[in-house]
Amino acid sequence: MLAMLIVLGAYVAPRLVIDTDILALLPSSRDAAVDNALIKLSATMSQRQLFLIGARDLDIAKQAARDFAGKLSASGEFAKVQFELSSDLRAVTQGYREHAAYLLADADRARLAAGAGESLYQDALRAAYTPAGMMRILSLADDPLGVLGNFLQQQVPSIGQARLDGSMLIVEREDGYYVLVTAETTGSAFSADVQQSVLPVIAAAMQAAHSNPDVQILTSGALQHAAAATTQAKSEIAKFGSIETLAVLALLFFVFGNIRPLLLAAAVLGLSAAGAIVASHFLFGKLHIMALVFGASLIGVVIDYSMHFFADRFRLRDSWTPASAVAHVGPAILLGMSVTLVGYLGLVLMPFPGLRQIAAFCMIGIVIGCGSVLCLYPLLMSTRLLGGGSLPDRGPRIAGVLDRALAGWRWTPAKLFICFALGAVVLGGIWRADVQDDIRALQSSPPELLANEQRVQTLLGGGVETRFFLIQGDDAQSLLENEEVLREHLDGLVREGVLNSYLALTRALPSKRRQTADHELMERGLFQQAGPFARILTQFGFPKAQIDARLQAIRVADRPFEVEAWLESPGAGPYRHMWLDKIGERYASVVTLSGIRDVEKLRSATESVANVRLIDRPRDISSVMQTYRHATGWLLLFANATALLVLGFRFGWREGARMVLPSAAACLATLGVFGWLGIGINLFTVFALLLVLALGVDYGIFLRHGQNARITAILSVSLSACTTFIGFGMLAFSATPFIRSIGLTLLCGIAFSWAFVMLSCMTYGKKSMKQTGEAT
Amino acid sequence: MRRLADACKAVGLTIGLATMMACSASAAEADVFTHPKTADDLAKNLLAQPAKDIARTQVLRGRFLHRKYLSDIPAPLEAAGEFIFVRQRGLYWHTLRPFDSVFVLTPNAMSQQDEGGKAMKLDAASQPAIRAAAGIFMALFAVDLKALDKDFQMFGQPGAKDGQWLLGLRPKNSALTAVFTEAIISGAAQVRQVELRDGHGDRTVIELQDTELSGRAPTQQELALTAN
Repeated sequence: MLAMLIVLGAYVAPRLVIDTDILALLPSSRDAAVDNALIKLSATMSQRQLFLIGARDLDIAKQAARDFAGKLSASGEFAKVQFELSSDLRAVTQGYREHAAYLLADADRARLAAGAGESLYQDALRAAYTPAGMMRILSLADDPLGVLGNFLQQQVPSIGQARLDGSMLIVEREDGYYVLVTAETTGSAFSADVQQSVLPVIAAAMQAAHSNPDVQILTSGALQHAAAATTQAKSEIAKFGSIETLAVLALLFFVFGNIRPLLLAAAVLGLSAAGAIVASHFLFGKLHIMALVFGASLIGVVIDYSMHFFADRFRLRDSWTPASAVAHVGPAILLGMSVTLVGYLGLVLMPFPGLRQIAAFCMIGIVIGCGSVLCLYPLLMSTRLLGGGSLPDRGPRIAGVLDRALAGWRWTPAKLFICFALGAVVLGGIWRADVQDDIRALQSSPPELLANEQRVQTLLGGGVETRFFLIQGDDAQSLLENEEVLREHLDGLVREGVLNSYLALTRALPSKRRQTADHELMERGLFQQAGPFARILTQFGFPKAQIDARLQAIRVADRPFEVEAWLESPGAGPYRHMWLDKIGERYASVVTLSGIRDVEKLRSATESVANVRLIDRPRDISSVMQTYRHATGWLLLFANATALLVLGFRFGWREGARMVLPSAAACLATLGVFGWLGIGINLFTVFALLLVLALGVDYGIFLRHGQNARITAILSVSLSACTTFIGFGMLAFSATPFIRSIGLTLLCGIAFSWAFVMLSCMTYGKKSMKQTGEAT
Repeated sequence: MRRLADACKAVGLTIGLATMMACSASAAEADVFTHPKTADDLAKNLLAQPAKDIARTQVLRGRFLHRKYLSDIPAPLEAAGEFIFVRQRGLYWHTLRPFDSVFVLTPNAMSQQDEGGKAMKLDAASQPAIRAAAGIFMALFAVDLKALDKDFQMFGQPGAKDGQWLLGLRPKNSALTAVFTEAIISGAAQVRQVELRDGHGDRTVIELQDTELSGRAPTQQELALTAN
């Protein structure tokens, strides 16, 4: 055991990788390579933090942004801090120059297709003779018709409504100007390390910026939420932990007269947790946060075993030895453990990687806990260590009261009728139950953060969405063509207002098919003899020989832009990351979205487009949760059934039923209560019910085993129920919805379970004892 | 800078006195960027005399001669017409020669209309360069030293004749550099000429003729023409 602790501390703990990606729980789909790419992409998106730095005066805003970004990048904690887009327009245009005859902006394409090449000539005239020419990107000599300039203009990246002003992305509102600064953290926003190193830097930079009272800073990004969740979790652990510890200490002191049982129980718990973590690390390489959360359920079960052990002292006040305790409660504990293990075994059989981890974690922990109780306690305990003989009488007295009440209980028809009525009420509640498979159960950010996030979204007209399109193609060019097909749909949706804007790399690199078609258009509409190109150059005063030479040069030298060449050119800059290259067998690329107003319409409009998939993380997560909820629901039934089988086989069907049915009834009753109270039922509710079942069956087994020492049995079961109640009951007050669900479920479930199991097992105990004349 | 002056001198010798004068003017212009000045200095000294008049101006009207010199072509592209500039509102630019075209520039938008042709309007929201251009033009016409000081490095020196002055501007940020890299404004009692040089080696020279400065409020017609 000790060796294991050392291994845990020295080897595992520093290397522990806690996986917080919910999508890792999804069963692997057919295309693992794509999924990996998607996970990586989603991760990079979560690493990106947006800051809007605003002031009434544009210059103040720009300077503040410059300072802010400077501080962030000086800290070295960020992989990339960007407040200026590379304004090296010259380098970008240089890259495109030799392909100018193959590149057209959408508007120009439409004009040429309609045979309106003359209008380009008119535009050129105006550029030459009026101040309107100031807007031209390239010189009149280089790009007389402005065709390349229009193409370059079309690609200027923007985020939502933030537009390029000089080299910065700026949003303008009635109350001032906001400059956009983006920063990418080096690691995931969910990692505690990253949070610790990055947040102080941001806070310092913000404080410096706020030294000018005019300046406002808004933030958006996963980091703030993750950090808030972590601080909240930490404070809750501290708060609840201390309350729980005090309450349990008080209870144990009340019953046992000293706190040593608690210390020993805590030690055992620590060992089980450590063992489970070490084993998981070696088995899986990393630990998913869900496994940790449900591993916490170990607390309930392992404490149970410890409680049963300690409470056994009350059976033989004076002549009790640890060895006799093992003999008495050992079989019961072992039986309980096997039943629970069989239940968790069901999880292992499911094809979900996450569930398998959870099951392994819990099972190993329980086995170690049980082993420690049965093997360690006798070694570590002796009546001397426990502080001498005098056990307080309080516990057994209360248990005695309960015992007599239960023994005197008779199942009158009236009582049966009430039971049935209540059962009907419960069923009604279940009917009304509100099932939530929402990702909102996982989110618990404080309202100010959410409001902040909302403001950023409003300002940017949508901000950066986490939904995006994944396009695939058998080769590079068909990929580009597929993307262009999607873009036609998206353009229509943008016009309708369904979507604010999107970024696609085919804007900067059209497919070869399109480039060739555009070249045709230009050949026929611009570069022909006495066409607009020739005429405007003549108008400018270029000699005919020079014009002809230029036309010839275009014909000979210009060629389409190839993918590899484009990827290396400066023009690819903002778009490079959207080219995913070859993944698995096919090529893939990404189209990012901004300002989605109607997701369903977006989805339905693009569903029919081949090779295109809308990646919707929130929806995916919700579907994961729903699938898992169903799976766990079946598992619950399965566990109930196997428990019934095993116990029925061992003790006979009536006895078996008496032990299992109360917890099943408790589960149903909890669901019913939730239904009536309007509390949502989600994945975590079902998980908690699993624990209720395990514990309930434990209680049943214990009561059955303790028929010949009823008071002790009642005491130990009640004690276990109370400690679990206190331990998990506190969770019901958590700010995090999913933890709250678990807490509430266990509160109700354990309460019902205790009540039902008492009624079920103890009300005719004496009768059967008299009948069988059992005595040990 | 020196080479340009020499080239101009060479050309001037073959063409004539006017050209020679133009070249000496451009030689002087080339020098203006060696005389950095602050806005206060300019307001008190070099531009003290015209500043008062120019500062009173609410409406500036006149005719213009717009010449664009492409770096490869010796002969400029010439256009002429009339303009109306209303302070704090916008610029109405009506080209009459070689074709009829109206161009209106305000901080919010830029619009164009050809004779009988279609109108085209560009919003400052979609093209931030418009705001930059509008700002520059309005500051140039109004010689608003304070506004210019924000965005430009300023240079100044006296002109060839008494009372003439040269004002040089270099943009401080890249939004403006995209429109022009250097500007030279010259005048005496009023602004006579605005020369813009851009990053491609092209030059635009705008000569203002028959200008009227008035301190009165703009008329209805003037307001209508500069609406956008």
